[in-house]
Amino acid sequence: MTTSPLPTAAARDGEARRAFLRDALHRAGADANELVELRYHKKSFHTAIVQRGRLERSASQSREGVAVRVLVDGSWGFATTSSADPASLAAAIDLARRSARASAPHRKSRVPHLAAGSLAVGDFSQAGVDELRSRSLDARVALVMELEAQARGASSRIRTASSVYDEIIEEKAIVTSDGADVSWVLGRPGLRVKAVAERDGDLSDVTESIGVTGGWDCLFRTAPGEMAESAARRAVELLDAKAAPGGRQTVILSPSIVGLLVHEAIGHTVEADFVLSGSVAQGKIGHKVASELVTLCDSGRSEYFGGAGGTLPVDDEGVVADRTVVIEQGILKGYLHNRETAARFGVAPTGNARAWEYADTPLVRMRNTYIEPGQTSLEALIESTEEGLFLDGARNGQADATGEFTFGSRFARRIHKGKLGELLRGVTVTGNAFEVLSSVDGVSDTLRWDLGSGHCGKGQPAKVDAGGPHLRCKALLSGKTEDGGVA
Amino acid sequence: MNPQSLRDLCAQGVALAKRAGAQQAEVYAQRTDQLEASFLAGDLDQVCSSAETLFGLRVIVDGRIGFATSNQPDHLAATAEAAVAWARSSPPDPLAGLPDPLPLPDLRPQVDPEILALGPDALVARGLDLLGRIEARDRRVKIDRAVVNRSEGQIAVVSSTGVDAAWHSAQLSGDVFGMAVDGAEVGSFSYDADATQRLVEADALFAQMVTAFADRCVGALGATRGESFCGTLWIPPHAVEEVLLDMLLTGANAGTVRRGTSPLADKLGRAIASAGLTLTEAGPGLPWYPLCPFDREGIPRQRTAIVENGVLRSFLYDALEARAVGRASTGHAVGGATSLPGVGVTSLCVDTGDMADEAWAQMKRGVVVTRFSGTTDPASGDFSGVVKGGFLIRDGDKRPIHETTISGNLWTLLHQISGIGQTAHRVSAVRALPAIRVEDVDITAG
Repeated sequence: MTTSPLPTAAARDGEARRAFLRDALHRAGADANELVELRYHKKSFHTAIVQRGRLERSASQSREGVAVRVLVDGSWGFATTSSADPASLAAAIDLARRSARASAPHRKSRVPHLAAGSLAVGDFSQAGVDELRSRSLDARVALVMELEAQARGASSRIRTASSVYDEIIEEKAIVTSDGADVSWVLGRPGLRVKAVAERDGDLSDVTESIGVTGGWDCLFRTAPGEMAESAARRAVELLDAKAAPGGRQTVILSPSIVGLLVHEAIGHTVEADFVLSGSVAQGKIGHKVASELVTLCDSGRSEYFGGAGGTLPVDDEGVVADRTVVIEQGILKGYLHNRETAARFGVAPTGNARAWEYADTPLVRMRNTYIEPGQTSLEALIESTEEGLFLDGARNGQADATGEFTFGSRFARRIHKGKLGELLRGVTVTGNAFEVLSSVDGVSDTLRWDLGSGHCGKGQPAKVDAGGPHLRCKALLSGKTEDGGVA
Repeated sequence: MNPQSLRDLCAQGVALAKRAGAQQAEVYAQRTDQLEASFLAGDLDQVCSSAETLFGLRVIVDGRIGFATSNQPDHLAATAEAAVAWARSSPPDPLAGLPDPLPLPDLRPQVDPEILALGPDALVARGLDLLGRIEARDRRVKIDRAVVNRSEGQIAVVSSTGVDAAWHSAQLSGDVFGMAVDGAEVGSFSYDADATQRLVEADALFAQMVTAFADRCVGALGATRGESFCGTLWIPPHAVEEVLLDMLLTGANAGTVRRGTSPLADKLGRAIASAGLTLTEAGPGLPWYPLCPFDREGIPRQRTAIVENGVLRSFLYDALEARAVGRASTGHAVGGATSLPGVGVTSLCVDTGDMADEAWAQMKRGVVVTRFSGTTDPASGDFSGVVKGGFLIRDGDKRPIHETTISGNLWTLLHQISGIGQTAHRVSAVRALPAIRVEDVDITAG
């Protein structure tokens, strides 16, 4: 068991919720042969979106309820109720129990038991929620209106701009019949600004964004005005940029692209449910899968630098969400687990069970995924590169069960004889992530979280973050090669 | 909760919003009861049941818009006050306003009692049947995730301008996600889904779905390096929307036109594609899958030709976008109770052409795109990405390929359509799409 650190107002609210769940659990009378898990979850959103000077959206959303999971006869039953009264919760427990019993005969492989791991007790509320709640709606509206106006007015070349403020406040409590008894509150604000530049019908757009776990001040570790100015300036610069050359090349990847690579192309293949389905990481524990310069982790904490967007103290099964080493000096060391997959693999759960809303079943999901920083400065990495490209600005990416990936970079800069050269339009990078990581021969010494404003999708969304240092490696870029051929 | 009580909830919300200071108010409410059997790694995972009532209030206060939503009917008054508070914090908006009601077609939902009667055992049995059929098709196919879902939905929308509509529906849906594994070789992902409102159709539909899914998974095994050339692309029905239509539909959204981000803004009445392409938003749905006859705002859904014989004929509008240009809504407001209405597509069809469905075999040299994974830029139309689970065709021979990228510009590509299939295939219940062939595409082997 891991017990909580803080006696606060949030802790008192959390204790009341846990008491409600404990009472329901007591009345339901869970016996030694079954596991009953009750999860209260309230999710509140504030959103404000501005485009071309018009407030397109200004809205609040709130959704709350209790999810019940029952494991009996080696089989799961799941039911939810949005009515927070004892009778509705008792009916949901009964329904989940009946569903579990009804499905048990049809399971080929019964769940033998759940790995206990480090079940949390107490309140683990995070800082920043009161700060968010104290801000007026006027302040949020003013923020996005000013941000968009600033980006739109930054240059006569800017054709249109937009800005988005979104904020999630999560309130949770989990009580299980085998000892988890935990509550927490946390906030996840995010901010995005996009500028679209145009010249003679040629368009380029740049988005600057930040998404954190924390409060208002944490969000503004980069001044909003700088984000607007940077988006506009870079969008205009791209109008003059030529296309980057294709082909297999030496590249230095920025932390945002490293984040996309480790999340999309490596992280999903080491989610234990996916490993059980046959992902490429199956059977590779102890194998060399990357350069020895690469140590890759996934953590519920915000390692090295505060506010990472996927931070959570405890997962949605009540397990403390600690740091998990996936690849250590190039060797695959472990997978990401919930309590069931951990039991199947005979290891401790890693705190990766996450549900987006109360009515969702917890799935194995990443949190903050990153590569550990190395010893070399970014400047030294660039200086020691004879020819190559510096890639920055992650765009959308996708990956496959095989580790094959595709993602875009918004910008590229040529590197020639150790010096950064002209700005180029971004490229699409493809390849096999394990091969790319095996080619890493340089790792910079500073980590940056850079994927916190988006969502990961796996049937249900999840707020995650990813990042790392700058990496030097080989990658295949699509497009025309320097000699006019195709890559 | 029955449809009438959902309507009553909406009416109460309208009254509470007006009491809180709104001059106009609209409440959209949805009640969903679901039962679902889910499967992980080829085995039954769990049976889930859920029931919830969600409602969203849109208010207009002094020409300003506010919105709030909740799943707690007891919090109706507080939610109305939250919507009014947002409106008061927002700047005046010349587009603010709610639509006036329009006559609705005869509203007689057809809810299949046999679907409503499906219990946990029946869903588990159907899921096991799906898995069994896949295994029988080819044992190398591994199911990462599969779901069989029975869903009953009720919706109601009531506004202070007189909109008052309700609907009731039930469906059985299934989806599968996985890949083929052969020894150390892991194939590319595949996914398929379908849904029906009539239980009697379910067996045949799901059998068809899992056959297509299993064949795609296995087809991706044994992939080798492709070839680099400028040539023909064969886009099967299930990939047509992803590869060809997504950006076009974004550009045909009146919201993107108003916001200045649609490259189609000045193209109405002009040819934007080869003359063979006719693309229609199917409004109240396809014959085999009728939809609720009104949109998110209670306005009748209209069947709308977007592209006719290659010419851009219409954008899609909700009430706000229609007001912005002084015309009527086409009934394309989408969204649920948790968001403000926005313009979107619900059901879609492409007219068939005269190309034989197996004409890929006659391609001299080309690539079949089973799935596309890449980056697209709706503003410029530029796209670039990898063909997943694709095939190289050479003089009638077909072999799986990997790491093959395609790149180009969508607006150019639409003019390079050289063939449209003779048969429209049902895709995910609400699409009727034929295969499409495109010429002169840059194809690059990795």
